[in-house]
Amino acid sequence: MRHDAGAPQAGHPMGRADPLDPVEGFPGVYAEYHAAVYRTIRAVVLNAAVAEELAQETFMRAYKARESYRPDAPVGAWLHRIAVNLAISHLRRERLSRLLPIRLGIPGPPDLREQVEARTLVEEALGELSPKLRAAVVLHYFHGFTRDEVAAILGVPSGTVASRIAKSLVVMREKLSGNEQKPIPVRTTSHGVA
Amino acid sequence: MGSHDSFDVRLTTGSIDPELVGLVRRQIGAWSPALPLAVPMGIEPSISRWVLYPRAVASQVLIVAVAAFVLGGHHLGPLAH
Repeated sequence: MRHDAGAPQAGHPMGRADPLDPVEGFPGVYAEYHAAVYRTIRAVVLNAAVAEELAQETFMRAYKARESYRPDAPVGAWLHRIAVNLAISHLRRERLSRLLPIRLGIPGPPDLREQVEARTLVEEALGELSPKLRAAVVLHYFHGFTRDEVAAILGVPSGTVASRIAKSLVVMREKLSGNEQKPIPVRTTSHGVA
Repeated sequence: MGSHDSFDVRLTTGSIDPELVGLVRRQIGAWSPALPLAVPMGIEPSISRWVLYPRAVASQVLIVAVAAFVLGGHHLGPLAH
């Protein structure tokens, strides 16, 4: 398994302390995984403020559900599963909250994602992906989870993960190469845009 | 997803866009939570409520003390006579 230097050991079980111990176990888990969970959520929702809230919510839920945690499973994967589910649920609710007022004929809430921050080209490229594709990208390429681990976290077959990751790269490459600034050159292969 | 078999092959051979992956990794790595690294307040009432909110504890102790004094006075009143 590959890991980013700044990321926690995603597949590392909580060996140092009992995760069920609210004093010695859980604070350590929080300190070790909070930034990683935040980044995963932010990559899915593409909003810093929402990611802060959902990261906190992730640990709240994990704490409340700590009795259901199995010590043989990597705690990082467990936390990321909660985080991704929360993030995708949030986006579903957000989409519904925009659609419902339209049906009722009243103006909906503003799109916070566009409103809050100036986004970089890479963020815009990530924004071209669906939340599920973004989740696969951040789990695999940033956190270094293997395809099988990403599959377990997302609850989909490994082949689906491979497809999502590859499709994501193609879409992002197209987005970046379509930008006039062209920050990176386009490489072509026999498959087309790589 | 069977139509993406060619993607799977490229993934397993590792011949995929390292530049783009590098850009994505740098972008995500640049994101850091703004909140201080601390256990979320309220996550465990036995810790956060009594440790993180000493003022609340002090005020509750004061309320209990006043209540005890008042109730105690009522009980002691008849005994004093």
